[in-house]
Amino acid sequence: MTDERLAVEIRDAFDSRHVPSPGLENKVVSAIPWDGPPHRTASVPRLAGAFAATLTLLIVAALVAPSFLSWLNVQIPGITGGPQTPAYSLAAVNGQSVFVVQRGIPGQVAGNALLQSSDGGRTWSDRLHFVGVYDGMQVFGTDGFIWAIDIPNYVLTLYRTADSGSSWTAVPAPIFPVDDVFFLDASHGWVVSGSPQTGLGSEPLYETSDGAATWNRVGTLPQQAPMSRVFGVGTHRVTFSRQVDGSLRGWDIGAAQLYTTTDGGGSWQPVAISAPAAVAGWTLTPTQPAFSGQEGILPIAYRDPTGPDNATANRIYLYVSRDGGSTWSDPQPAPAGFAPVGDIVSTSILDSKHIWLTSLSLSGGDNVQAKPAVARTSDGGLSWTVVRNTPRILVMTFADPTHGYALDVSGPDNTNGILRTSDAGTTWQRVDLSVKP
Amino acid sequence: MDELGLLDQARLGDRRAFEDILRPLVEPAYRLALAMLREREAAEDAVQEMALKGWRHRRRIRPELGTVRPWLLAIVANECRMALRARWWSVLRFAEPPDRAIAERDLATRFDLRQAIDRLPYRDRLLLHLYFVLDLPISEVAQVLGISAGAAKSRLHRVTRRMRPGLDSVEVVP
Repeated sequence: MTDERLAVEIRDAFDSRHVPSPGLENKVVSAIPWDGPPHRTASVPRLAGAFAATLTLLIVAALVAPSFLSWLNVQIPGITGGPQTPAYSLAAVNGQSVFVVQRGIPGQVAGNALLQSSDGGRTWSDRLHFVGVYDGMQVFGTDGFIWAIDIPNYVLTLYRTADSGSSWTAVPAPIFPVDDVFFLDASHGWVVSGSPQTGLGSEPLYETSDGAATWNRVGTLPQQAPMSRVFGVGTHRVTFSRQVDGSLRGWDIGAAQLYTTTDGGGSWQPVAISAPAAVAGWTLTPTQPAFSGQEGILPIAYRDPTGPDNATANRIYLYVSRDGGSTWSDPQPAPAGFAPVGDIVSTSILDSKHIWLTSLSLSGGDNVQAKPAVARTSDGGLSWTVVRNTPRILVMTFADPTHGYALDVSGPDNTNGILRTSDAGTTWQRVDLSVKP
Repeated sequence: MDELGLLDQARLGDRRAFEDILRPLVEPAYRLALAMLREREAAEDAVQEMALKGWRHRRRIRPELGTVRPWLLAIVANECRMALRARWWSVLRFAEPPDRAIAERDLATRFDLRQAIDRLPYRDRLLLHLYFVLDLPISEVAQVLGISAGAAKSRLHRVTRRMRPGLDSVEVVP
């Protein structure tokens, strides 16, 4: 293929997905607040002085602000109220506690707030305020981590707790850019290093075994990047699971291939997954597996590359492993209507038996379909119970087979909210996030 | 008024000058954002942010460079990356379905290429779009990506070679 031909084809490939936006130019120009003052740009010497002063203030503020604000029960301006509807993330569920992050909006709402409830969502405590794009949280009994990634420099901001979330301490950030974070427990974690400025094909994997105090490079990832959406709140490109003999097995999501490692990330091999006859030859999108001891569940989504992009054309199957992830077999199809509509399926896996699915259509932005549903299984996908006309649930997290929380959207503006269930997802009650103890 | 004069005036807060600079960049910025985000509303938001931040930070305009295009497109690129990362739902996302109107003969090639593009990391898709779709010179591509022109050139070679193993490389026009 000639250079010219390739250039044309690349252009065509991008252009084939173009959707015009008539009137955008005028809309954009008319929305500019012309009377607003410009941001000041400081000279370098002034900047250095200002930087030092700001750094000192930030350190003091970071140390003092959360507990002080919590003590005063004061809201940081912009975190609540104002014209912006707050956006939330369902961060973690840990025994009796549920954690919700009220997200900042870059350029509009300053910083994120971590809220915790230990009474089923009746009252909430303001635990931590932090900056950056909130990326994830994991809790392990009394220990836990929460982190944000600063764009565009990909600087990790990491906090940890050792008292079940009551107080949080900033952990020194690694010096390299960070693209993905996962913790297996309070000591062991992995980060994928990378940023738009990083070179090609050498995304290094770093490991910590001392609770993120130090990081060691253990290898590089296979050169098959996943879809961008793998990088997002509560999702991980790389995870690790512990085998019954204490050894570790790692998982890396590629674009159409799941990889595994048994040497801590030094080398990676493709995971063999045989497609059911009904979807032979279809393209697959892997997700991360979940384990209960040696038993694992691996959701795989299939799409017919020549078919229409709708629910009848797509399938999701749950594969089972009984040997800690060495082999995967017995794919069970998700119930009818729970194939991805367009491109979205949300899964919540409590253990290898208890799994929940939501089915949504988010095409064209945040336009969620009118009649969403939740499906649940308590036997690893052999049989399903489907509840229809549920709230528009985006993601669920369960503490046990019956008690869980969900993030939903409602109303014409797709307002975020938190729900709770005490009957495995059959009925949902809205949680009021504004009630402070 | 010439381009340098416009840039100078925009830097000093002349609304008309800024508007004149901004308007021709809205469409390429939207194309870039849509290619990266694949959602019209999100792409429109990214372009709006570009305009707001561009005006708010107009003092950063450097008339001596002769253009604000790389600066404004870099804002869009960052907005897109942030939007992708800030998703608050846990999802699987499929690649877009193929265009069924494409002739059978070309389908395999084009579908392969689109899949190859889909599988590229964000930064590489951004690079391809800036160079091949927006037709930016490599020096401006480098400015948007925040790397040197040499690094942008060599990355372009490597990306195209990776997409097409049989292809030697692409001749990069400076």
